[in-house]
Amino acid sequence: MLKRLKISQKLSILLLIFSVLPLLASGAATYFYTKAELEKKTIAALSAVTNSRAAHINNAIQFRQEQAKEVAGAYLLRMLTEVGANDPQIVQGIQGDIDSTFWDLKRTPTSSYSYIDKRTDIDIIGVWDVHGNIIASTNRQLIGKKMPFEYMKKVHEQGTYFRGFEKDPLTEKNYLIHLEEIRNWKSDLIVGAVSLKISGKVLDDITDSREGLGESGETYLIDKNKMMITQSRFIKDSILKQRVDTKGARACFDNKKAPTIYRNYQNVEVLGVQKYLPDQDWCLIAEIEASEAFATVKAFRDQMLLVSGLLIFFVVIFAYLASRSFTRPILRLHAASQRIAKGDYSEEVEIDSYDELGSLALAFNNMTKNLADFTQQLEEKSRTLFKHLAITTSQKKELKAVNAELDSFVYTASHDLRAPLRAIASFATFLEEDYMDKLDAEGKDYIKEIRSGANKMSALIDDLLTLSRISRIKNPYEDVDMKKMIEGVVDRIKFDIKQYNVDLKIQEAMPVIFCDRIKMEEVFLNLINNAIKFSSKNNKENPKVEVGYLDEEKNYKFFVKDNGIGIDPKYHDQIFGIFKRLHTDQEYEGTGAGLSIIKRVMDGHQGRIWVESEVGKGSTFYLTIPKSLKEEELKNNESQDKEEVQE
Amino acid sequence: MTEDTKLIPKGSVPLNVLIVEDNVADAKIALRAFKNAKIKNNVIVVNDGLECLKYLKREEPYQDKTQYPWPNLILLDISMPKVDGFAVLKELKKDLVFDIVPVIVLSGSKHREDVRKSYENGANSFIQKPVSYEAFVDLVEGFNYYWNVLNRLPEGENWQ
Repeated sequence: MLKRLKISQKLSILLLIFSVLPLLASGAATYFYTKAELEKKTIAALSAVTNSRAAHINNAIQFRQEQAKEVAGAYLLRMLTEVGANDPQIVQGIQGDIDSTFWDLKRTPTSSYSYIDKRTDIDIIGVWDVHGNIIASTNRQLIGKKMPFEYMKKVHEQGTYFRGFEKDPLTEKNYLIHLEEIRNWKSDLIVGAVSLKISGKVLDDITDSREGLGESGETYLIDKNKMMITQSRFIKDSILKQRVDTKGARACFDNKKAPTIYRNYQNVEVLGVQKYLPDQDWCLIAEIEASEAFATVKAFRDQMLLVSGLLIFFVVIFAYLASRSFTRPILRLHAASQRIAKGDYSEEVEIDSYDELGSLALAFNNMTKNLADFTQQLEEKSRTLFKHLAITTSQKKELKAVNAELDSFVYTASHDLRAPLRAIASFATFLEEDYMDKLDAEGKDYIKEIRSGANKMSALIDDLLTLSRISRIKNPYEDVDMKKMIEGVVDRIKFDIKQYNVDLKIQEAMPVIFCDRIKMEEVFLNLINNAIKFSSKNNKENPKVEVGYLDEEKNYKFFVKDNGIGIDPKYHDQIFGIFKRLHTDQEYEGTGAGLSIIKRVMDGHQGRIWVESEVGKGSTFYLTIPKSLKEEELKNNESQDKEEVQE
Repeated sequence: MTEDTKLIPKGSVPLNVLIVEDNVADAKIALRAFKNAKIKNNVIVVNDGLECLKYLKREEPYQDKTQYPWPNLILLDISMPKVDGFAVLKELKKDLVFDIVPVIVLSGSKHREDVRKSYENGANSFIQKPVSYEAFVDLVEGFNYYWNVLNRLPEGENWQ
């Protein structure tokens, strides 16, 4: 995945790893450590608050219980009997007693706890007979009313009974209700009870203080039903109306360890401490909002993130600029290499630094230059190479070897074959000359045969050598005036022409042809000789030979016509083969090599030779030479000349 | 082939022709052709190049000056074993005494290369041996006529 990134991105990542990560790591460590410390400290503070306030609450509750005991121990109250308030005077006295006590209590602060205002919090003092009927009360309206049965039962069981904070069924008000037994002075039997109803303000006074609780902290009490029994700081009229079913509250009553951070009854995240008050079966809870508790550490975190963000921003910008400083030359090199790939060597790479990239660019420029030079050389070389490709060196060597072999063969043939032949011919002559008179006619004939055989053999060797030379040796082509050339040939054989009285016609208009003069002479000499030979034999009176020219679109076309014996069409193809003879020696002399020599010459000139003839009607030999021959020859020569120079 | 056909121009002496020829048959043919020629001559045959050099240097067995006289012409065959015609030519033309003797190369072929090489090495003429004897005789006639009648040849004064 890294491989796909640009250099700037890679550099960014690298720099970020080395700069931002350590910052973030140390920041995070600091953050979490500080947060934990803050949490610990906050919880400790909350615990201190709850512990002290729980003690205050306990004291306040016990103080009231003591007062209830005091009231219940009064003389008049102990005058009550198990049969009930049968004496109206006593009842009246009791009423007077509690009224004065009530006002005493209201008037006289007796506690050292300054924030408990005893003057205001006691609301009602009531006295109950043994049947549970209220016989005297500071609230006159309640006299004669009946006490709930379980109250009396508890009093009988426990003597002293704190009912908790609840709605009083008689007055429909919320009170802390303390009950205390009254025992008869004489029999010491339970004869009634005193009830003290105190408003919850005493508790509110304790929980109200925000000391050590910051801006959002509060303490509150909940009863075993998880109902709030002190005033919430945030909700109006919360007493016995706001239920607190939080993790903290549940853990408190279940006697389990509560989490330090949880959501409070308003679903706000708080740090909280809970204290269970076993005597009252209450729970005192102190909570502070997490946002406040962690405010400093959160500010630190925000600053940290801000600094990191800025750092990342600057690092990325720096990485981009830095990477550009070396990707730019690389991009230039890349562009240049693409130009070179397309064969453009003209532009150099700009060098603007002397670091490794500068050296690279320099080396690149040198390489480009070398490449350009090399390409040019290569092009030249390949150009010449293509020209020489037609004939490879190995082929040339082969050809040379074959030619050398042929040379040596020709040399041997001309030397070694002739010498014995000469001996045969000469000694036959000597025999003839020296022993003429000793030989009979038959012997003389044999000697004659020997001599003629030797001569024929000599002619054959000559033809063979000619044939070999013609196939092998290529004389330089030149512009040959055919008219003049043929006249020259005829001049060489004018003796024969005269001797056989041949009527020889040569056409006036003849072209100039680019060809091998020597070989072409050989061709016409052979053809004309043949024509004379055959026409004179067949038509002794009037032998006719005609040499003519016919212009064709693509070819020069010549013909040599005679009025000789003609050739059967079935032999027309054979006659051009080497030593093919259609006649016996007696009829026509010659080795038969002539036409095959002609055929070879014409092949060499890319031409054709053929005969049109019928037996007894003379023969016409046609030969064609393509008009395009000159161009092709010149082209070939050019390339061959160059080859020579190369060698 | 009567005596009167052998024309000897006035003031001329018979030519001493040294034929260097390894082929016995050819040597015999040449001898006969010269014998039958109309112009008188004196033909000596040696059988190879080495013999030819010995002859000129008057080494054994060629000391006798009357039997082996100064050659006016040398007819030299090319293809010979041991020392071939070209080598003999070189030796001849190097020598200060007999470098003046004209050498006529007589070869079985008229191979272009042979012709060129012969003249390069100082040959004065190049003639192809004809196959038929009649042609050979004609050749010798013409040859004798040219070299003895028309042409002047140097004398071998310094030849000891």
